[in-house]
Amino acid sequence: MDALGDPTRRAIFELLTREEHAVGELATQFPISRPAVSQHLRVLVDAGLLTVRRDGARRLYAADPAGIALLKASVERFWRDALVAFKDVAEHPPAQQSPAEQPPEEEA
Amino acid sequence: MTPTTTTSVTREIVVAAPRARAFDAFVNMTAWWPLDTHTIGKAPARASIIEPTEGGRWYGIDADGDPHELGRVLAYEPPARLVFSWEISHDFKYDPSIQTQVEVTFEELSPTSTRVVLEHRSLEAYGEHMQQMIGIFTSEGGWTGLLERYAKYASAA
Repeated sequence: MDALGDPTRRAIFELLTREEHAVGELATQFPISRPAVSQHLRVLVDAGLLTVRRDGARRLYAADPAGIALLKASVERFWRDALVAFKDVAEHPPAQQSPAEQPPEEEA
Repeated sequence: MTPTTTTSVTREIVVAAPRARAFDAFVNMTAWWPLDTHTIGKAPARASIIEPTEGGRWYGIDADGDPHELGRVLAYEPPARLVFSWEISHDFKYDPSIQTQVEVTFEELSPTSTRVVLEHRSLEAYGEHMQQMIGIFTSEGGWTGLLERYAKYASAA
């Protein structure tokens, strides 16, 4: 199932990446009923995309920072290493610097 | 739909090279892209090609010589700026519905040094596949092998 395949669900998720909200608050921002919002939230929670926090009688939903933070960390690490490799090439260009179309020579 | 907020990652690195050379080296991706581990075709890939024009393709060539799409060139402005889309799904297939973007800017610090800032944004496009993406980015023989390979450089820098 594609939790973010639905445009409304995606919009709800994007909103929750910025700020946490209760169901009622979300229902005022989208042209759908409160039960429909709840349904969308359930799908997002099941997909591991949201965290839920109790505040008195309210349940506050927010994008799960752990998932996002982990993804960011892994992407960051990838680019850190890729850029170090790029730096090496920029500073020590291969003897024959091939234009984009040319197949590469083997590199040590 | 206007993407107002996005989950993005920014890295920067200073290279001891003139701006034009830094730009060319980046576009000459085959020379530095981790072809043995980070390919969506048959590994190890032979090349990672950025077509040097706006609207161009970004594609890889796998071990069998078959091309596979990776994304599109959204801006090509040597020697200042390059933007390309990264359309790779959580299961490492080309998927044009995954629209993440990589923007790279090259700022001249001196005639022989350049600050390169890279932003990979719209990562929320992975949605419920975030966990799998993390797995792929850090899997054994995947990004991990790359880490080890360049750990020396990283610690020396």
